Amino acid sequence: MPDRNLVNWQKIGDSLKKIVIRRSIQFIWLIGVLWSQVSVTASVDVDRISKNETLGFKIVAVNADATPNVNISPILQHFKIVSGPAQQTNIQWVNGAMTSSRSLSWTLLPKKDGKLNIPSLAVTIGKQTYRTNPIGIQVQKGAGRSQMAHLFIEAKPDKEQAFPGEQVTVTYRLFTRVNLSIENIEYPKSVGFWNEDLRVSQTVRFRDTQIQGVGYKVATLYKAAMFPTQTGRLTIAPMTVTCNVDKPRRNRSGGVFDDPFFNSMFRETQRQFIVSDSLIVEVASYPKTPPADFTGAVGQFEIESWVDTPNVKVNEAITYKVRVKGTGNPNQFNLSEISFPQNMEVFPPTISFKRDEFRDDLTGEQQMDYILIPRSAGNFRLNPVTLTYFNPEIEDFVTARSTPVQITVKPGDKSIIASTQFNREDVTMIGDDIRYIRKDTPKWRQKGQQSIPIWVWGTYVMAAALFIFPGIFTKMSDNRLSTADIRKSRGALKQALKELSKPKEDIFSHTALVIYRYFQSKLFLSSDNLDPLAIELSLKGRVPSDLMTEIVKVTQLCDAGRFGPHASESEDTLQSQVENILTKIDEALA
Amino acid sequence: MRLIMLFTIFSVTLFSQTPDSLFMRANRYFETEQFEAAARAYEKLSAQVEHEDLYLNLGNAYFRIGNIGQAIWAYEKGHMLSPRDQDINYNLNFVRAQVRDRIQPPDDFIVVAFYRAIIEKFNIIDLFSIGGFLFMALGGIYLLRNKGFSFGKIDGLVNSILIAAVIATGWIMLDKYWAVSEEQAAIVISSAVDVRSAPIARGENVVFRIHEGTKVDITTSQPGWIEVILLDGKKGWIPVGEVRTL
Repeated sequence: MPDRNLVNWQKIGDSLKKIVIRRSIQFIWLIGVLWSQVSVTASVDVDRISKNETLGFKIVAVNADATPNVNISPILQHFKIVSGPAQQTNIQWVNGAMTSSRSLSWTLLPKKDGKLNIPSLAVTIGKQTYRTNPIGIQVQKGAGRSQMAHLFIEAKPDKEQAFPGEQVTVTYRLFTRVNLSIENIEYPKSVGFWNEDLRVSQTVRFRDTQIQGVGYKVATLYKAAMFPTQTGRLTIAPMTVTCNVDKPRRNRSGGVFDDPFFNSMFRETQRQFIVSDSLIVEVASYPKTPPADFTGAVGQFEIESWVDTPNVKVNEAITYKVRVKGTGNPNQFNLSEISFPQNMEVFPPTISFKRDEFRDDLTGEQQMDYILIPRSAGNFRLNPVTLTYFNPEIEDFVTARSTPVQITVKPGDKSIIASTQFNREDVTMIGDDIRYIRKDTPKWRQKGQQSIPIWVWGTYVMAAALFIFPGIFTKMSDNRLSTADIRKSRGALKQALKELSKPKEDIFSHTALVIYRYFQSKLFLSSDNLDPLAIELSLKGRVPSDLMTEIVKVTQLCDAGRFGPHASESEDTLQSQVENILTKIDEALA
Repeated sequence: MRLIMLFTIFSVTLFSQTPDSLFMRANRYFETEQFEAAARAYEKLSAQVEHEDLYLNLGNAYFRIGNIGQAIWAYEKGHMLSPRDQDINYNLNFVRAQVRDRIQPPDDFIVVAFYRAIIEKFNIIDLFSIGGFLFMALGGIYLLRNKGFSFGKIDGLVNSILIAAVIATGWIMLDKYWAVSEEQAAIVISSAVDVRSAPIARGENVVFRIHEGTKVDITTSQPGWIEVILLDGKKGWIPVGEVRTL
């Protein structure tokens, strides 16, 4: 049993130990939790400053497990951020407890004097948002000025009243009684002005000057030509300069190192921000209503125009130059439209601008070069170029004008460039009308008697003749031929008797020839080779048979007599016999 | 009394207007823009004699007054006398363009259109002359053939063409003659005419309406009325005074 009790006690002791340890751990964890509560605070290093002094602003987040995110915009109303935010993380162990803090810090410059307030800002850590405490800052002006009188910027306009477009020259000068080096210059950007930098300092050169008996070093930092573009009270923005100023050192009089050499070696500088004052310029409207051709030129201008050569040939180029010279706002106006003669080709001008760098008043000359190519010969006049500008000195509008230019264009040797001026084109009907009356007296015709001209009839008669005449001609020639034969036929006997009576040596052949010729003529026989048989055939049925027998006998006798001498005894009777027969036949044929 | 008679005879002789003087006077009226007087003078002259120039001038005078119907009538008259006169044709087309009625003649087959153009472009004397020349050419060829001349291979072709041409000319001439002698055209001279279905002036029988300058063909006539047919075939009756016959 005692063994058993001993065991129980041991068990109880073990379990108690466990509980104590567990509770202790829980307690420590609880304390840790309580200690690690996140808190966000805002603080400034100084709450009383002069206007040109900066202040440090810091937001600390304790026990934050992430970088705080701050919306800084509400403080920009009164302050300007010079630098920041700078981040810092601290981890501390205090009595075994760990504290972590993350901080953000800025350097701020007040924009104005008086009681300024840094409002409560929203800080986001993780998903939680915390708010900082607001802080009041007292910004002193008087104290600052007196304090800072050894260092200031003077902004000085050359005039406080101007007309639109009139140049206002603003000069920014830095006055100092202490040694400093310029870190940064923020040039002003003003609304309502067109700004032209006159001189921007690359290296600042100081010279000595005195203000009310006090010695200063002065340097011109910046010069600007401001041209108002609107009327009313216009504000020229201030200029901000960041510089490092030598800090006045504690006097180590009697020290070994109190020596300018060592002093320069152990310089201490302080960063200073210097802001110039804002300037107000009154811009008044023009005293008179601007003329119609006024395009905004203000100042004093001259205008001139000329050509490089006044005598050219057709298609040769001329350079026509227009130059505007003067002081004022040379980039802010237009020249009047230049009207060129019609048959001149004009190319767009090349424009050059030259500024006089060494004068505060913006001065320069603008030149436009036009290339002209005359396309026809003649004398041409280039009209003057005009520019109407406002002269602020006399407060009136003035028109500057160039002299007109005469150009003589002679006909070219050859048309080098094909003329595009005159294209051939169709004759266009502009109006339409009937054609005019005829005034020559015509050859009148009696009404309704439009007769067919005689020559027309002539053609028909001629045609008819051409058809008819060939027939008549043929007929006529036939007729004439036949009558000759008939005549011959009628005179055949007479001719035959006449031939027979002629004395002939060979009576038989002569008589035969006469007989044959007679029949040839009488009976229109064509063939010359007649014989008694042919005669008999021709006469058959036309003469009595006894007569035919007789003539055949006689012809045969003649033929026989022609070829044989035995028939000579009938020579004496032959002539009378033939005459008798032929007469009888002729009577029978008639 | 005798003196007066003498004077009258003298003045009649002196101032009697020959066609030439009347024509010149009308031209002077026209030149001085007295168009109505010019038209009257030309009309008077056209009652005695005729010539295409006279109708051209008359048409111009009427056109200047604004009398389109009468102007077209005059140009048509001139066109009939001289179908190829360019001035007359130009003026006729010009004035025709101002006629309100647009009558679309039916589209003809190309051969028919060609035939119409020939009839349009030549008057009967031209055709007669052409026929005469063709006939003469045929006669000449006949004569040459009779004398033994030949065109060789195209002999028959030349003959056929010539004979066909002679026949065609003769036909066209006849056709033209019939057209001239039988068909009577007229030009509307009043500003608008109601064409009726019958020669009775009753409100309900108006078939269509034609305007000044429109050319119509007269088919038949009755006392006071004529039956007209338009180019597109529309037909109807109109009072005889509304048109001027060509």
